[in-house]
Amino acid sequence: MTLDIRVEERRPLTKTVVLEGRLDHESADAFDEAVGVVLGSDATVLVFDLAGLEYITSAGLRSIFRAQKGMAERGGRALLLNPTPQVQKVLDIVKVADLAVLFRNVQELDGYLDAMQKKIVKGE
Amino acid sequence: MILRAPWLDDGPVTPRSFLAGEPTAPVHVPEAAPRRARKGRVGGVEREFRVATRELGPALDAFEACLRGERLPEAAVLDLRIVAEEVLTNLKKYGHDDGAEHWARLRLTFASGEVTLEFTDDGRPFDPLAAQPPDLEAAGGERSIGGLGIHLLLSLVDAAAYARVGSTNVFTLRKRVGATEEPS
Repeated sequence: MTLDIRVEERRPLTKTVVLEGRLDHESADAFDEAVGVVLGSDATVLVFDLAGLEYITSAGLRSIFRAQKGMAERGGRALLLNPTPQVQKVLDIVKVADLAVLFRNVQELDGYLDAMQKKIVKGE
Repeated sequence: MILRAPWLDDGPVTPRSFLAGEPTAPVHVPEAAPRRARKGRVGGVEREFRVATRELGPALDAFEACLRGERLPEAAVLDLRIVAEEVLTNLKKYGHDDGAEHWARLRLTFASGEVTLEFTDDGRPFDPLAAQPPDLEAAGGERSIGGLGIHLLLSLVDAAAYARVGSTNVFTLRKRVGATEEPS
């Protein structure tokens, strides 16, 4: 197995998929399966924690795009957290920043999610 | 000077003899095989990997181990691994439609701070340089997910060339990798 996948619930209605290893043609199916479970839950935010992701290929990018689309279709969103320089390079090449909200660290992400939660509470 | 890998003891591999597929056992790469490259090295290293299209992992792992053995910078190793994986995955998915096992060849040349990868396969004619680029400006849900691999691999190399030679595709990629890392 080239990829270790762990799903955590660090905040209510938020699932964090922690990836360690390589998201490539071999591991994309296992990744899709894990994401499928999240899409079937009541989570409104899906966070991909990329700190342990060594590299990503087009097979992995397609899986992430599908996850984003799947979350958007059910009114949620998928966010990317803390990519390594190697992964960041690939994300830049395919202009993922145009599609996904990307955070460099947990503090940035928490700030964003707190702001989101306040909006929901206020009914915005 | 071209150095031949010690485990390739069955003579030069030409596209015709190689793609004939005999013998069909995957190339075994001995663990101690890689030679050490040093800064300023003028000579070249050439290795060949036979790739079974049904099972890309072993050849990709051997290729990556070879790059590490040459002490290329880590970022270059990972870039080249991605490049090889994209080319070969494309071949696996679209190169043939007869359901049979096929073989491709990856020739790696490393000289003067530049890595050259030459992929040869007997798949249907396919020029990656003429492929439709992906639409990277489209909105999320509308974005096409086709063509990403070719766009990615071409972005990670410095030069690319394609030729149809007889019944084979020959795809050549070059990447400057700078100085090799000193042994720790």
